[in-house]
Amino acid sequence: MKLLLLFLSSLAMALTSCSVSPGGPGVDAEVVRPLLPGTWTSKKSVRGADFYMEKTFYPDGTAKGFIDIRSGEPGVSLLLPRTPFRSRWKFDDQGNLVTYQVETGNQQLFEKDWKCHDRILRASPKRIDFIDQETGERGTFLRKSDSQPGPTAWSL
Amino acid sequence: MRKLQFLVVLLGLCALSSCYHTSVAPLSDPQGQIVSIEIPGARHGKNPSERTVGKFIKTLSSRYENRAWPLKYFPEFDLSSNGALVSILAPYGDLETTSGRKFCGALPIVMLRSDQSAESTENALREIVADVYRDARKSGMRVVPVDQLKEQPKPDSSPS
Repeated sequence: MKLLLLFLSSLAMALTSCSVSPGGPGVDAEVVRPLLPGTWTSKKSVRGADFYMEKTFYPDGTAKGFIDIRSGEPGVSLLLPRTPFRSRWKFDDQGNLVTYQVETGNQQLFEKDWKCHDRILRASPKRIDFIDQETGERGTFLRKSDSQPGPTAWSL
Repeated sequence: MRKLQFLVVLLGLCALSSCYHTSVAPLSDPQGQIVSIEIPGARHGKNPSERTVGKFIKTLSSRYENRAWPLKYFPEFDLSSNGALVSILAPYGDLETTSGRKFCGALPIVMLRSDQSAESTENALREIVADVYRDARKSGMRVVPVDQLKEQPKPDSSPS
């Protein structure tokens, strides 16, 4: 069980994550700030596991959403429980989008006081590309449209 | 003739395996914690009877015994041509909470097999897991998140 939680924890960090000052200059925080409110989706595959996150940013600096984790091959898949979370967001002095005060029912998923600093590389009303300053991994948020069906959105 | 029958069965199995998607998930609570359930009528230290375990499984799976259940979970399901099956597996044994309470519990695993897309099957399974959890609570079953369970002692590997 501990191994599973360790695996989940490292995957969760990789999902939102970034390496050493990567990505070059980012988009100005004042450009990104008004675009953020609303619901965004993000997908990532790490070591054979697929992550899907839905996150709603609120103008008051709070956010909430959930993370789904699955693993599988064509014809068969294993789903881990959906993990709801709440967090806060802000921009730091360097213009990075900071995720902090993450609260989840599954406390093993995020380390205590875990934070993430994302440099925004490109931002438009429907898509935000970012790079995690801690791990150097790139990620993308796509705005969830009202017509998007179902709670999850991946296919094998 | 026997060879032909064998071929037909084999082809049927291949068709089944290519058309159906199987998805598996452990039972969990709304906070995303995998849970164990105390088996009603079973006692710690005693193997529960088949009848006790059967009744437990039946309570969890009763919602999926009628023919129309897939309509709730698959928006485009056609009862005359589509197929779906829910199975609940419940490995069980003696468990102990971190506070020292001992009980005979199960770690239910929900399996859904359907001829719908992988995405539809997975979305349906997430809803089914939520319903199984709700049904367990509604019927008064005691649920314990696995992180409140003591780790099972590792088997002694020393040579005897």
